[in-house]
Amino acid sequence: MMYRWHAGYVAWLLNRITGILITLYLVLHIWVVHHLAHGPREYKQVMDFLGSKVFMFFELGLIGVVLYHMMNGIRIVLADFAGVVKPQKTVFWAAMGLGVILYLLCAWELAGLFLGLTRAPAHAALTRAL
Amino acid sequence: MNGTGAANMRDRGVGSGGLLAWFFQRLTGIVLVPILLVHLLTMHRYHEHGLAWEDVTRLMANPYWKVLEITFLVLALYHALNGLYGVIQDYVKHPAWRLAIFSACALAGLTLLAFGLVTVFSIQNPDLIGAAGAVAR
Repeated sequence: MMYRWHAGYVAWLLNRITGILITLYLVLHIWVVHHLAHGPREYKQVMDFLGSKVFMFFELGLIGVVLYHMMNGIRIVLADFAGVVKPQKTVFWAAMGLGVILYLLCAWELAGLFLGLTRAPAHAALTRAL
Repeated sequence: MNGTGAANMRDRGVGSGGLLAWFFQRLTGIVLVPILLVHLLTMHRYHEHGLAWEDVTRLMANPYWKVLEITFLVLALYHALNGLYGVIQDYVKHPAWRLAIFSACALAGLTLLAFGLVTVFSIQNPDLIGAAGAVAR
């Protein structure tokens, strides 16, 4: 299934790869959130584990993957449903630009939390209570 | 048109059932965008709410949120597994294998949905049930 590398091909290929990665994450996520139903102690254990520094990189990666898939998906929907076919390359790069902006916003928030630059008062109170 | 024993295009792994899948993949994708954004802005804003158990469960106990989460689950699982099956279709042409893999995807989806529903439904609203019915600690 080899084909010449060009923007459309790479976009399609990345969409597949990100789709598969997100699917795997979804399964994991459903399992993790399931702990919510087991009460605050179990939940706090899981969340503390996931709040450790190494997971920041995974979360940053996840955000990038999801945003790519979303932006490329919007391009596809515009092409398939709204007939925006001829300017597709421009639309793709515009979507990627928007994706980068959103990514920076999310990464900013995430870094703020993980690096302890922002307070999480409610969480701290609950941690003390438990 | 004669192939090697294939009587029609279906036998060669080219079916006609792709239209709905193609359409719903895009439809679910479109609907998932706002749902995901709402999900991230509420559940994942931990530096404001601290992602404390209490905050998340307060949200989850609300039946309107439950409906939203269930919708999210159903659409996301459909989109994911339909997408996965689409990828598989590019590599697996034999109709019997396709059916087997399709069934596996459907089963996985329903199982994951059931698992997620258990989580969503197990978070109860103490105001409706009364003091004794608070979520088990």
